[in-house]
Amino acid sequence: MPLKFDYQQQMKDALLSNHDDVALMDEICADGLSAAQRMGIYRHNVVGGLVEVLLARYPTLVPLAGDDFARGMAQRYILAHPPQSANLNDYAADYAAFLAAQDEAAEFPFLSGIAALENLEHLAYYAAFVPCLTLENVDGFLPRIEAQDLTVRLNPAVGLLQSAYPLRDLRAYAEDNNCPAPDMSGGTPHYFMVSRRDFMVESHEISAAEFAFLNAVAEGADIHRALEQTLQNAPDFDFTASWQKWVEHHVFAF
Amino acid sequence: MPQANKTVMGLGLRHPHYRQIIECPPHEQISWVEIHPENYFGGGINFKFLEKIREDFPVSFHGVGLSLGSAEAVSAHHLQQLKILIDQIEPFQFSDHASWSMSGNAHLNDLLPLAYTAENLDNLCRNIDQAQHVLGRQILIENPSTYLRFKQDEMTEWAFLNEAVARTGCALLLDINNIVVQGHNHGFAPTDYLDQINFAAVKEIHLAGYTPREIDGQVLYIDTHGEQVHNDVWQTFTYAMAHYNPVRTLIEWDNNMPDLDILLAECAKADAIITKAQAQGAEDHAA
Repeated sequence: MPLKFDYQQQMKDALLSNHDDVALMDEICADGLSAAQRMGIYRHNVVGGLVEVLLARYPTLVPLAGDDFARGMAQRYILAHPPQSANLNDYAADYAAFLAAQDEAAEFPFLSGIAALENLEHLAYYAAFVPCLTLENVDGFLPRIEAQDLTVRLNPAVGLLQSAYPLRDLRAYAEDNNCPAPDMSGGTPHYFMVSRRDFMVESHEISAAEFAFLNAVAEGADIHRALEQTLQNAPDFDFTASWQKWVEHHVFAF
Repeated sequence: MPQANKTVMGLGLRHPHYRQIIECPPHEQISWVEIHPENYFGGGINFKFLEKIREDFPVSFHGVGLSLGSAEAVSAHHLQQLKILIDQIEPFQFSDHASWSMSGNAHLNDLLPLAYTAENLDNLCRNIDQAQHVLGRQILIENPSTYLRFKQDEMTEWAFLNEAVARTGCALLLDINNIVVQGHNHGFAPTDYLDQINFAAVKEIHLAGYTPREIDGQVLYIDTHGEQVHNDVWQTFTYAMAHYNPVRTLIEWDNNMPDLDILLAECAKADAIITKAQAQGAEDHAA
């Protein structure tokens, strides 16, 4: 129900627009400072706090694009897309798409890919834990998997990403200039998988065949069907080696 | 099972200290921990750490998302997420703030000030009732830090909170730092606040650090939770402990996170104030 004195709506609009509502300003006690200065403290807390939330969720944007650019983009996003709920872990999941649509970001065409990778890592951190195939238990389940008696799916912490850029190498270079500069020509597609093992989130560059296989499982195919589809396009796919690696990284849930 | 410990001191549990607290639980300095439940929704890595820490310490939930002072009702979805986490972790206590964050289509990431009017009191009480009903327990509401006040205010902050307690049966979480911040920013003595608030309803105290900020030659205190507890906060806490029985007390630190040892030293300092006040009280009683 709207308030008779609806300062909450007015204050929210003012904080998200950088324009102080005159009617609201008249209702604030100055007490030695202007009402606008007092509102400025809240604007600093609200917008500045959310900028820090975004930069923490997408930590490589500052080293890649610079502090001013990263903060400016974050602020633009926040004013256009304020949080809808108190659960900030869900906030700004679409930031990669937002960056990709900004004209100013054209100078950094790899930025949205980095944001997409860091979003998957964030989601992996907060994903629910479910029973997984591990090196310790996999032998016990293999007969049931072979007999198609056990449905295997991707661990909810696993995420897949395709990019025109070598995102992991780029991030390593951004964090440590002693790392070799990556090839940024953008001519070859790169494939990535984010996984979580116990309390550790990891990202991996994977092959096109591995990506195709995992993507098929993500879309609902069982292991046999996914392998069949993958081998059609990649007859040299070494499934056994990949399977060993995936089980080690808790990629499959059941 | 959590170990028995006579201290009333607790610590705001934050990510950088998870492993240290699990590997070497500081039972001498604290007897409980407090979390922001919103950081543990969904069951990810934070939740796993919390499950382990829960084995050593009772847990209190200190919410930042109910927006109890909003004109609109509390989010049913948010309450449901809290209820799920409460059922999983079984905290001994739940608190949130006498402030608002949600308006229309936006949840602002801050604890925004209420106008202390009868209309806002009605809304706050309606939302506390809703939260207590869904969560199936008494909740605590925390006094705020604010940087402005409204001309439409009809009562003092302590009268506003006391009335909310009387109407809803909720309890209070008294943040001593916030009282000092309010006293400085709005011109009253923190001891006046302590004399007027219904201390019988206080079930928890928070201690934290504010940051002075100069604007046009005027200094405002900003509730940053990013520094050690200031002397005027310790003095106000000492006054409270000299006049009232001790309740669970927490060191709250959210920004510029220091080493765990510094936080535990702050806990020890608060504990010493409580112990001294109790000894003085016993002496006075004997005399």
